[in-house]
Formats: sequence, structure tokens, C-alpha cells
Amino acid sequence: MAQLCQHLPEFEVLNTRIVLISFGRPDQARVWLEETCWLAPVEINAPFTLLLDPERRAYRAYELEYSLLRSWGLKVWRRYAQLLFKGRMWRGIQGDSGQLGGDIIVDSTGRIRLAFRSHDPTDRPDVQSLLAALR
Amino acid sequence: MSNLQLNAAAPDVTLLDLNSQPVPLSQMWRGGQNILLVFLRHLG
Repeated sequence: MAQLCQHLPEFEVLNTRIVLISFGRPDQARVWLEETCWLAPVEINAPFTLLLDPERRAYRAYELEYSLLRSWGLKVWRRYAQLLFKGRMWRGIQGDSGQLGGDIIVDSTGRIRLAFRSHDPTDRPDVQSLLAALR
Repeated sequence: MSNLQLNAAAPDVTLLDLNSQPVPLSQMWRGGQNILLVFLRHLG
């Protein structure tokens, strides 16, 4: 996510809006976004649209994976340790930690142009491949 | 096998904005923009 924040102008040039979807509470989502993208609260709505999906309808519709086992593997612990070392605050588990994420690109005609479903929490597409799919 | 193929129509689901107002996902791409949907995990 922090990588996405650093490349916002490139997404704008490619006429692309970033829509974050969370099943967390609004207050949790705001804090998370501030910490992740170093945005002041007033700026949060500018570069992103943040939508909430408490019942995880979109997660099911877009076939995001679920695995408690893969969510807590060694790679994930290592990643959390790195983030803590960099100063990120651990707020405990807020929600269902087995739910995995993903990145989907929908073009302006409503067609799916890229679908990446995370195999584990560290598994995300790199920003360049997202930008390439938009070109 | 996934039901979601490339170039297929994206599923339209109604979500909530930060004021708990319903927002259809299709509203996002009907504005003529491409959309990158970033599905987050838990926010810990």
C-alpha cells in the first residue's frame, strides 16, 4: 500500500481511481490509512475512495481467498517484524485475520483487466505490473 | 476454477462509504475512469 501511495501521480495520468475496500470499521480504516500513506486526515478522501464491506460481499464476489494457515506463516511474521522495526504500531488483530486481500483492475467500461488474489498477506502485485496493465 | 475471467463484466456490489451511505461499485467506473480495487486485510 505504501508503494501505491508513492505512485499516485502515475495512476492519475492513467485515468485511474484507487478504491480501497476494507471490512474494518470506519475509524480503524481512517487510522490505518493515515499511518500507511502518511496522509493528514483532511487529505484522505482526495487520492483514494475508501469503501467499507462489513459483510465481505465484494470479497466473495471477486473471489478473494481465505486461509488462516497462510495468513500466519513465517513470511508474514517476518513482514510484521520489519514493519514494527520501521516504527509501525501494532494494533492487534482487528477483524478476521484469515481473510486475504487482492488487487483488481476494472476498466472504464466495467471489464476486468487484471485480477490478482493474494496467496498470503505478503503476496501483492508490484506497482509496475499494475501500471503496465493500465497502459 | 474462477468465475472471474479477464475481460468479463466486473461484479457490481453495493458497499458503504465512511458515512455509512450505500455506494454501488459500478458507480466508480461509470464516471469514465479505470478503477484499481485494493482489497485490504484486517487493519491491525
